[in-house]
Amino acid sequence: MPHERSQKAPSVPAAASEIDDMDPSDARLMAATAGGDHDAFAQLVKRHQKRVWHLAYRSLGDAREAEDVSQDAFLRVFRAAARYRPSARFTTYLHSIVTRLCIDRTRKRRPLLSDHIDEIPTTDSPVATLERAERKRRVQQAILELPVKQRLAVVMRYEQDMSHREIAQAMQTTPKSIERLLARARLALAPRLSDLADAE
Amino acid sequence: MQCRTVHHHFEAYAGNLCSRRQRRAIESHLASCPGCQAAWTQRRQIQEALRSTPVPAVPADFASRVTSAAREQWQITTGSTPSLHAQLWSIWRQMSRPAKVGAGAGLALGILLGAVGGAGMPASPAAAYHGSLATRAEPDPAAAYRFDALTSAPQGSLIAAYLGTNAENQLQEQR
Repeated sequence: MPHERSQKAPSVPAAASEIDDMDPSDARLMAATAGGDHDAFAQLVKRHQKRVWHLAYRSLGDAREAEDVSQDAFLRVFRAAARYRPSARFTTYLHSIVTRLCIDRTRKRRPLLSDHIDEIPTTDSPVATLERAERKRRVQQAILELPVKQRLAVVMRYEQDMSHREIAQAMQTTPKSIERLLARARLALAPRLSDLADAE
Repeated sequence: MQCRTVHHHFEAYAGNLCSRRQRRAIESHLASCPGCQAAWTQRRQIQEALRSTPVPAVPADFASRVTSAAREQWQITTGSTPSLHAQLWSIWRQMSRPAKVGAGAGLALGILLGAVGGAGMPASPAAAYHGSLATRAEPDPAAAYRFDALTSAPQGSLIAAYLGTNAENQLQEQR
């Protein structure tokens, strides 16, 4: 039985001599940001905005809240740049901030209703558009009905291909806890999403 | 291996984190257990459903707004714009490679020319000034303004009156 292989994120260069000026590492950009280099910070934002936005949107289900959380996360990174030490990957550090913000935001508000799901522009036919919208609504609603920690673990594992260890670091727990979170999430999602996958 | 154990190891198995023995045991169980095979299929379906359902794109101006907010926070916190070093480093990083090579060559040439052209200069500006004074032949233009205030005071001046009074007092004391 073939098993799935998770894609590993590119590793940070080990030595300064390996760093190309045209594509500096996250650690180098953070060091420059700490020195007041706003262009370095802008480069960090552009490099990671998509995954941050993606995680926030999947976890919160609302574009405005996702934008607030994403911006807040990057500004916290900016403020903490002088204290940042590359003991772990920058993406793990960034995910830990986004995770905490999503958990805090979720605890402060009611669960999001499916009617609030944002629409994505598409050039499909009207029927295909409706089917896609309905599929998206079901998937997003199923995700949003999970407890927030299961939600975050699902997105980071199944969509962003983060390892259990990376997710555990981001959520400040153990890999075993992540396995349990994912197992419970799978049990909750499977009955609601299995027919969607079969329809592909 | 029991079904509960297999389910427990699903994520590790998917992430290739199991030992070879565990992996063989899981694969053997999946091949013979319809229930666990269905659970494994469900996991795959969840992943496919999530990946096939896009999220809205990041707002086009998100990065610029975040950067602007960060810049405002920096100026509020430090009370100043980024340091000259940070600004120069930022300009350097934006330059193309040919531009960097040209700038570096120009800097090296300027240093070289400065070193060669300055070889005949005196060791310090002070040494240059005093050296020029020593070789000057023209008279000191300030000489006309120098006078001994106690012996060559102009007639009718306050100094002359004081000196005259002081000299009479000294003569009276000697008598």
